Amino acid sequence: MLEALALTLSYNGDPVVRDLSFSLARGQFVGLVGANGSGKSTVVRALSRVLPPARGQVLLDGADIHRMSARELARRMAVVPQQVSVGFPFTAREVVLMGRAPHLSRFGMERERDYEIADRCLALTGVEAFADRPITNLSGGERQRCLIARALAQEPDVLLLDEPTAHLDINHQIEILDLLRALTAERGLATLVVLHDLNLASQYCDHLLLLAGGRLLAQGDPREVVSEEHIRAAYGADVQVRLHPSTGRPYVTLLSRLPIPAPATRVTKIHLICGAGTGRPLMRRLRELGFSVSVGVVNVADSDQLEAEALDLPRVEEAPFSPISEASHRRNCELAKAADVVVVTGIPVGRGNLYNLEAAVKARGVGKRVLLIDDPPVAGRDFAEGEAIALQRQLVNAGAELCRDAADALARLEKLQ
Amino acid sequence: MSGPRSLLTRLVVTTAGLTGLLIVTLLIAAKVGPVAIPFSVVTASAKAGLLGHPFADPNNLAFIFWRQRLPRVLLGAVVGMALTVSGGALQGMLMNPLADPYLVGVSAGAALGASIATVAHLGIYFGGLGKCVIGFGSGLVTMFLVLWLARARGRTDRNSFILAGVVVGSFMWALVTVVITIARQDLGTIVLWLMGNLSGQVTWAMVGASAAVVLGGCLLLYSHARDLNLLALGEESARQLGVEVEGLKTSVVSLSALVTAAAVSVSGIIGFVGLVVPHAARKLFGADHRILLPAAGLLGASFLVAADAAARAVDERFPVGVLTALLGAPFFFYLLKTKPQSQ
Repeated sequence: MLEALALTLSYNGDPVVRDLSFSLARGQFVGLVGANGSGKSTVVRALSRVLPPARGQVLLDGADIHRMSARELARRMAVVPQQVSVGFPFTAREVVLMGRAPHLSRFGMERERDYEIADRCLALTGVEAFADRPITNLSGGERQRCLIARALAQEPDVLLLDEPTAHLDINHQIEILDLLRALTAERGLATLVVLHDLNLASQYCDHLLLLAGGRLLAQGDPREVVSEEHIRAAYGADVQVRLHPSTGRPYVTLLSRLPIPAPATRVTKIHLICGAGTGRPLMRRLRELGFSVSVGVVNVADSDQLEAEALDLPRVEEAPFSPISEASHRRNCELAKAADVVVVTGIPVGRGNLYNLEAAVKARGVGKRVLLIDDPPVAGRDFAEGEAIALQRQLVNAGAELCRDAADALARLEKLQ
Repeated sequence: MSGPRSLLTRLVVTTAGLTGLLIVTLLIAAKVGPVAIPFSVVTASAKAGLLGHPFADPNNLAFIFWRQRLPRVLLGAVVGMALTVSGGALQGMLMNPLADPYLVGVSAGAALGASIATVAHLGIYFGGLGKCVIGFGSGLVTMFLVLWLARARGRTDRNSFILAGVVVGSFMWALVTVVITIARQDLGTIVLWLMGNLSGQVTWAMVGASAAVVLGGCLLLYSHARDLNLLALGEESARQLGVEVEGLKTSVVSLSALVTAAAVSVSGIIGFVGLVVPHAARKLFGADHRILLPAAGLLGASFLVAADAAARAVDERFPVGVLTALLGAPFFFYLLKTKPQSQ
């Protein structure tokens, strides 16, 4: 339906996008992603005939859009801009009716049918309650939905949206993307949407175009496009990409870009038993203090695991959301025995991770110094019917030190060599 | 739902009501002046004037009415309409509610032309309309200069346009000051003209010529009303909705300048009408230019006729431009202070 052929786009002779080719078919929901300044909005401007390409062509059903009149194109293509402040206090309904303009004759006025279409589009995007309010009085999200309604009122074949969800709350983002995807399927629209959020893009789009520095770095199924290497190349950011357990689509987690602290300067080795994000702040702090740190047992994609990975610490990992296996427990015990001090954070303890406390008990049994951070107090985080409380009491009786909080533990550790 | 749904119904109701207001204002204003004219004379002389019959009247009231009062009130209506329609259209095109018809530099250009015409005594040419014709011409030339300065790479940037208008305007005003300092003996005439007034010798030829230009220009501006609505979404969105934006901008500027020049050349510089009346009309009738432009035009016509009648009630030579500024500026402050949603 819509085809970009070897597009090179430039402003004042400086190329911004080079040699871009792709096609958009009926019923297809395509996402355009890329870092700020990668040329996404420029592509939308070129596809909508606002920016003439320096080289290449944009074809709509085989016809060059730059040979069409603006009105001709407007009957078939609608564009939702990124940000709009409407100059005068038009009502929301008047703005949506503006979408009918390309279908009216030069001096024609809107007829009953146009009003019906406008009302239907207002209802679709959930702004009918504001229909008679001046658009200048609406919030950013409400205004955005009015503009989407205006684009739908054009009854286009091709719909281009430049970050349509940028000003919306998460619930409206999902509502609007669900709506757009449903309309794309029902009406056989060809929809191209610029999205900022890689996770939304990967979840909603059939096909992704990834721009980097004005070039198409990758295109295809989100599972191919959203990869750690591609994102590092396009955004210069280290991320972790996993398949979402329920959608099977890739999802992206940002890794901290703080520099990894220098190699260990102290001789003391610390083994940190943590999970569910309780160890994260301590890990970096201990490394900064110059200790060698190992970590156990943490579930993959847990923020403790991500931080340990980012800091490149020796660690024992378990599959996401899975109980600690015998094998992992054994390796955890080995790391604990290799360390001088074992620190146990205030982990929520259930049946699945009781092994973490048992590892501490074993370490204490071979004479290791053990610090228990009782924050929050164990009674509130025992989900193993008292077994966690019992193990903690056992540890304290065996000589483990009870710390009020992480700061208390750090104060005790700082004195070590 | 506020008001009737169909645009056509709203348009007919609004224009009919405001036309009625204008007619009533014209009739009342025609009576007001140093010589009060009773309605009986108004109707009788109107009949006589239209049929071309001589009208016997001992006090020459009919003569005063037909040769002085009527042309003057009608010219007031024409000028009021010209300033508000061009002001409203320019505000829409520049997406700037503070724009007024004098922004395009027409007033300064016309002022320069009219001042030179006064000093050089060129008024006798063009059948006695020399000053008007020269003012009109120099106003248009100035507008084209502004448009040319603001144009870069085939497009007119709105902010460049406003800047160019201000700069060229300042330059022209400086020249006007030069002319004024040279013209000792014509100083009074020039200053009175600059203040804006309808008290000069108004002839039917002036009324006819300016009405033809103004009505024609306003109708052409009205043909852009829907495109001006779309432009409120931003230039890019307007293009994506099928508007040829650059052509629209050039056309709206040229037509506004034409209409403004026609008004300025016969009345001098009457301030605030073109700024405040479109504002008030937008509050009363909504933002849709298809209703706003005719409504503002009729409202502006009534307003200026009424203001001129009030000025006349003070003194035959009291400049209406002073009165509109005195009324307009406080009203404008009021609008600014009671418009919390303005961005």
